[in-house]
Amino acid sequence: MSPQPPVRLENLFLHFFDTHFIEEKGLTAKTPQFKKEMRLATRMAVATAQTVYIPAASYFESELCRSLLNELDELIELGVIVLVGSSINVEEYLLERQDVNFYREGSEQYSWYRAQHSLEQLPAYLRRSRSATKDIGEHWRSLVSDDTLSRNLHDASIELPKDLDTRLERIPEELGRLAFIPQHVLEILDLKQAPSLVQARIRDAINEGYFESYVRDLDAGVIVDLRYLSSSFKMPSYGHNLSYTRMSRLLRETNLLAEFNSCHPAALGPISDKVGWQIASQYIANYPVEHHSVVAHAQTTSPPRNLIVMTTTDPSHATKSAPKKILCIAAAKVELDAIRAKFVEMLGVTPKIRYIDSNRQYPAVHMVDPESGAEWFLATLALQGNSDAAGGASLLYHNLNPDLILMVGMCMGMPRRKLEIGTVIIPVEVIGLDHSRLTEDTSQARPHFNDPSNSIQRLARLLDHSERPYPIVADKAVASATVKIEDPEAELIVKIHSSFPDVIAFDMESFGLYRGLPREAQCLWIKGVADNGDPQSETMGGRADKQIAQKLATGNAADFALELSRQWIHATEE
Amino acid sequence: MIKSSSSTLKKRRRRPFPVKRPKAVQRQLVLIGSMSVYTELCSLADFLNSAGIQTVVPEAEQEAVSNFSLNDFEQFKREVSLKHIRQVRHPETWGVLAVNIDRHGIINYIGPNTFAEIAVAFAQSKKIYLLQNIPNAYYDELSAWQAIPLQGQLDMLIQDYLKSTNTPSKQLKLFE
Repeated sequence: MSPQPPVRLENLFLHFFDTHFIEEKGLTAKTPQFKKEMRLATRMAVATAQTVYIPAASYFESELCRSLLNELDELIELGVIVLVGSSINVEEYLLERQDVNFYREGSEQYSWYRAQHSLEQLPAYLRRSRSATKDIGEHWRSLVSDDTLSRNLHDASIELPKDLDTRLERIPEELGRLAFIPQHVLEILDLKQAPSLVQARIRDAINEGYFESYVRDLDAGVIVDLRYLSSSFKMPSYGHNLSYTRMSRLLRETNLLAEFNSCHPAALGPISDKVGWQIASQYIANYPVEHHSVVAHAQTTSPPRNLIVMTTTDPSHATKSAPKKILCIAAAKVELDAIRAKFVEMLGVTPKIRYIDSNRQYPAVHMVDPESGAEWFLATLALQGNSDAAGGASLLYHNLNPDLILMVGMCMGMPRRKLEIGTVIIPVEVIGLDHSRLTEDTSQARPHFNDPSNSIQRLARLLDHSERPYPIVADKAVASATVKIEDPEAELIVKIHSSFPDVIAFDMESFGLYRGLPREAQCLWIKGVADNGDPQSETMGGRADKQIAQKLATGNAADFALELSRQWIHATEE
Repeated sequence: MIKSSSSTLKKRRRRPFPVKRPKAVQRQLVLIGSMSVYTELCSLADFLNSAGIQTVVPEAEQEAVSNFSLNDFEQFKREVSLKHIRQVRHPETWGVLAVNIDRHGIINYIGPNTFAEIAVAFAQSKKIYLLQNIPNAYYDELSAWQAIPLQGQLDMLIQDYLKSTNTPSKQLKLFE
């Protein structure tokens, strides 16, 4: 049997460009050795891995990162280096950070994001699907539950508050919607004046969770055995790692280190081949990866901690003590008003306005369901339509980190279906029709599809629909385009009827909603049928009837959403 | 003429110039730790110098090291290690301070090189201080060698130094 040719490592994540990581390195980061190691490690990564991931924030906020990557422009064009961020795309990522409230005016970050970046020269961009804040919270809980964090803090100082252990446990809840960053945690724990070692260990616990969120998301390994760039915590990994020390020794042994350091990026491959790099990387750089049981920041004799692995698709692992956060998105003002009125009526509570983010950019109507304990955050979008639904849902999701996302409101029933006003629709398929091709004599639709099936959608289908005082359809498709239909015989409607006979309703946001949220997010579109594509009435009475229908349709959808959330919470906490 | 042996001896006992021994050479504290914590070593040394303690830090790594061949690199490592171990063993060395900051997820990390230097310090009856706490991996050894964990606070080290530098070193000097 002939030996298998060596394969490149799949994914490597470079943590050392992170600006906070560099900051914590203090004066070391200013030394030439630090920069040299960073440069060599990056070259090693691109010579070894199929894809090298770098946080988008590192790229835009660190001049050092940009200058080192600019040396590798040819590899950037090949897509070897990919930026990772939470926004939908790099344009959106930059726009979000150009907002004056995101970074303070005059700060370095503010200047960088306001600078004109040529988007063509940027590395490829990949949107993250996990929420870093949520992952840091999980990581924190695991360090608290096995006493690792408490042990490490007591090791750092003997003068710590007696109730520290209890307070550590409460941190994720006490933070609420504040960002999970060292500054906020130290404030809550009253440790802002604590010895620097105590503070450093708090920072490490958070940073470890932050980096773990990335590598877990990307199934990536990291560069280990670094000297100047080494972290005080054990760098989490979800892939094959690359040993900096051992690979640089390989280059020294073959007298190729100087050449590897200075060559043109295109020559990295041939040099690597000359020293048998890929073979070496298979044998000497692949450390066994401890998936889901990374022993972090522990004394060497400490027992391994049992990292609780929670994923958003598996809510059953969520802690019972934390109330569930439900984000309810209403596209139009009329829908928001109808949902708020329905919830006030059903929950018997007074709604309050709360900001869902620490920057106080996104206000929402806040209500608590006394039956399930869930916190509802009712928010609206700036505009109707799929693009705003995608962008808005994404922003709200990343700022709130909810357990459940529901878009509730009203939609149009497909005219030939003649659905009863107030019928609640749960889609099994969402077809987007915003993309079309216009030629001299024809207009050709280019449909795109979203699969809304997830755990909450399956639960919605399982519920006993006969208990509700309105019809529910949970096994048909919904079509979506940013077009207001006021003619049952409109060309688009006719086309949908003929090409997609399974479509039962039409709206302007469903496709954007599913497009803007990560695949594993628990989200569901629930809308009530408010009309069947009829034109706007010219009479006062006709308009009043329409408003009543809209209120009824949205109210029914809100009623179903509330019932569904209670069943979901009950099922997950069983 | 051959001089008598007794007069030769007398002459030998007499010195042309009186030997001036340095009366009170300030005793030094040697900082030990890996190159990755070099800047921490230097800032600690600055702080201790300002408190009146003479310190010695390892030789900084030359920039050229990053391009050295394996032979040159190992030669360089040998020389630097030997030089620093000599400093640890030096009769005027009062003690060592190991900069054992957390690394690779191991709190109070002590690397193999640092541990070796601590062992040399112990063999030469030097005081041993650890910047942080005692790592579990070497607890028995370092506890037996009476290593003193400082938990990030240098006050104890400074007090000990000022108190004990009035007393002579336990280590015998070669020409005394």
